[in-house]
Amino acid sequence: MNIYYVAKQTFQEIYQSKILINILFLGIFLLLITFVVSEFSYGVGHKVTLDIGLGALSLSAATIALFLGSTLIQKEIANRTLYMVISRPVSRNSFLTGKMLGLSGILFINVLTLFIILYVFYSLLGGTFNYLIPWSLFYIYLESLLVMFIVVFFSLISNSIIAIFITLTLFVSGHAMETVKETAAYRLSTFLKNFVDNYSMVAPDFSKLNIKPYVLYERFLDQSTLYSAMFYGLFWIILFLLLSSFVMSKKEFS
Amino acid sequence: MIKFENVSKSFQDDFWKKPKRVVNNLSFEVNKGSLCGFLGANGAGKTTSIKATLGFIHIDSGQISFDREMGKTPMEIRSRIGYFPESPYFYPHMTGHDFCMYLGQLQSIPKAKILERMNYWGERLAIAFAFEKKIRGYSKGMLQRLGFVSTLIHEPRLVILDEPLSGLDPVGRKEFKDILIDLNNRGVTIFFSSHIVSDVEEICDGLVVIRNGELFYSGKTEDLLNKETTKNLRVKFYAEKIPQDIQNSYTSIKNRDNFHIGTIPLEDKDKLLQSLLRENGSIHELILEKQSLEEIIYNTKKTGEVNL
Repeated sequence: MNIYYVAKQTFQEIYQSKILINILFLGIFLLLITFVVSEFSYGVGHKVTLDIGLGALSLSAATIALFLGSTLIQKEIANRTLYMVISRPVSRNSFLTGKMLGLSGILFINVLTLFIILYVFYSLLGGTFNYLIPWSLFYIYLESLLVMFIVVFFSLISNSIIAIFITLTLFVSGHAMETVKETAAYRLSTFLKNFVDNYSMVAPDFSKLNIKPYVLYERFLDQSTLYSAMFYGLFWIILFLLLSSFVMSKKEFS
Repeated sequence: MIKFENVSKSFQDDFWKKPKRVVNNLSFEVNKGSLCGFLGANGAGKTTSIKATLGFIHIDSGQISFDREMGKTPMEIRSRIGYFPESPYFYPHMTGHDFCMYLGQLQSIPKAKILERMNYWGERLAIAFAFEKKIRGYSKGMLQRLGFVSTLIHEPRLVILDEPLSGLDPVGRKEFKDILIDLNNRGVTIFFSSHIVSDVEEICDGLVVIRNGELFYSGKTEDLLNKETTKNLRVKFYAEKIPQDIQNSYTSIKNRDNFHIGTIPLEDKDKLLQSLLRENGSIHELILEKQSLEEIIYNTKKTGEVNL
């Protein structure tokens, strides 16, 4: 039950913060740009809307996860508000889980709100429902959760700035993996080939959670691929949660 | 209620530096039902000891244990402790009401009960009027009061306070001290650190004094005061000359117009009184020279025993 109260408090705190409002405005602004750009496209306005819109949605959710996640626990330690909570019958892991759940709630609201706006634009421009659209929404949410869990872990073992830097590096390199496979260097260099092929086993391969091309071109994606990508994302989330819990239990709050 | 047994704790400022021992082999006990003061200079290890008690930091060696009635698991124990940090920390976006409600809920107290206790302590600490205001608008004194309400919201059996009286005006300090005494009278064990020695002396029956992370004194405040009492009487009397019987033991401080101010050993009291009666003198003051805790500390500082 304590996890719920910590999560609720975190949700309300972020909900009232100006950072979230700014990022939400950024997301809405990007969606508006999407709408304007789609007006200049000939006949495929709804596809352009969906393409840029999903990209903006993904970027907005990842940005919130990155910046708010980096200070999620650090701020509690720096402001020492953590003392007021963990001196109560609240375990460190309950506190950590509650904080993460609170931010997860914010991410969900953000993704859902922007998606509703996007879908309205998409429908107005003649777009039709595709079974992969809800899946892409789910993967964007999963991706932002993964970003949050990574940045929280690194913020616990370093500081907010280093955590943002490392997470951003992992996010960009993770997304680049599929693109690298299409380059000549990948085919010619054995080292690069081995590195890219094994990357998803040593670091989160974000490209596995990106199904945008399938949504845009209405290509078929079978259930097993969708579920395996989901479990892949969940695996990394659980791994980073366990690592964060371990660090949290050993941390000195002096 | 709390027992420290050979507790040691070191901190390493950075990777290349040697760890610095902040608490060294510290052993003491805070008795159940006592109001115990915790004294020590800045950097003596008071806050570190309190943080170790609450599990914020892990000790290197030794053991910190609690009375059986506090519970078996760390969660049970913490549910019966009220902790008040040096500068209470709050979520500025919350109102005082929301903050107390949040902490109360973390203690699994029903809402109605939280409200009842909030109103009670809010009225007693004169902060109830600000419960609906955002904490970011509170003054330091108001924050201190709100922090105290949140400390007591779950009716703890043990209250641990880190410098609770710092930053309060004399009226606020008096109110806080009265509440601490009242709580103690209700059976709550109180352990609090302070720099204001006179406050500790005024209300505490037990005392723990540490120096450089090591124990200097642990026991009853009264015992330390008695131990350090000089057994001298400060006297002010009227007489034409210093009576013969006490001439050897009398130490003069000031004389004017046959008024004499000085000190005599306690055992010479009767000799002085009898002499004055005999020689038509009169006694104006007879006070047992008793040092305050602060004076004891300063005196022992001179001899190098205490460094507060």
